[in-house]
Amino acid sequence: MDKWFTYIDGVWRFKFDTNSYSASREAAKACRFFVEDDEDEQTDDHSQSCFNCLYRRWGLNCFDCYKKVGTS
Amino acid sequence: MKNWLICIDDTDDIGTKGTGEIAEEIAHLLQQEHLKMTEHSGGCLVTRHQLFVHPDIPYTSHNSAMCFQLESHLDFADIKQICVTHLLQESAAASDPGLAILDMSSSYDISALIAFGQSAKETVKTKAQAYQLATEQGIDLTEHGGTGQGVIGALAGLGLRLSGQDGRVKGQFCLGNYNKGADIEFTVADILANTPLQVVLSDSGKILADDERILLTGKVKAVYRQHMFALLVSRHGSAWVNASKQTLKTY
Repeated sequence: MDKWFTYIDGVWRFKFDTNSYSASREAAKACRFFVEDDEDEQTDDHSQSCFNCLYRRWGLNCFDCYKKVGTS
Repeated sequence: MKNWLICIDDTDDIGTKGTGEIAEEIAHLLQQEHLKMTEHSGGCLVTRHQLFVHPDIPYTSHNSAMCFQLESHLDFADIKQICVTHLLQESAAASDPGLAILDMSSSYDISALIAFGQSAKETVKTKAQAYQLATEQGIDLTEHGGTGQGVIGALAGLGLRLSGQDGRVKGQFCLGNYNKGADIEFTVADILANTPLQVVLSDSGKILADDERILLTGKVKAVYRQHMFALLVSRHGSAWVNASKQTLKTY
């Protein structure tokens, strides 16, 4: 997962921006913890995308993954 | 009958029922109660209003408030009791729920409320600021567990809904056989006749005429713009196509 995330200040931060759909989809495809969030909170038409995941928390620039934290 | 604007925030946690779903349930319960007094009840669509995401704000994952308008004979005490009972029953244990109720026939400064909502999209607001504005404007603002931090978003959501220019509509819309998978073309008139939507808007804000044709693809979702529930469309070659989730994320 290090291809897509960096460990910063105690959280795993997505390395890309909010328009990086390919990276978000690739990361979700490779992740065994992916769970789709409420449909109204999704921002990618492709369902299996970290942008749509229950365990992402949006921040100022993009999102942090909270499931990955729990498994690190 | 009176019109009420009701907004909730910060009721969920990862893996629990979402704030939007709880708002929809409250709207449904209020409509059911209203129907005990009259035969007519209009639908109340819930709008989702995005607020500021910042490390100093303790939101769960996206920091959005959920708002709906209710037209009803119910009095304030009954409305509030239904809202609070359901919030207490359904909110996540670790959440900090807030509830704001505005009597739209009361005298209030709409500009002040809109300004608070818009500010809450760009800056960190405090509970004290929210309570002060609510008191000044005669809005019932209450907290129902945890830190009660949700009162900030609940009040901000009211302001953003009142602006008429903010938010996505919760849920998706079904038209005839459309949801069977294949893309289908409809006229604007067909769309408006078969959904609760009020207008079809281009991404530049132009209202499309009834005879314009729209190609529906993917999920049909709407936004709240120009004080209306709107299907947002954009030009793809010679066709108008409904907005994707990628496009709607900024609304």
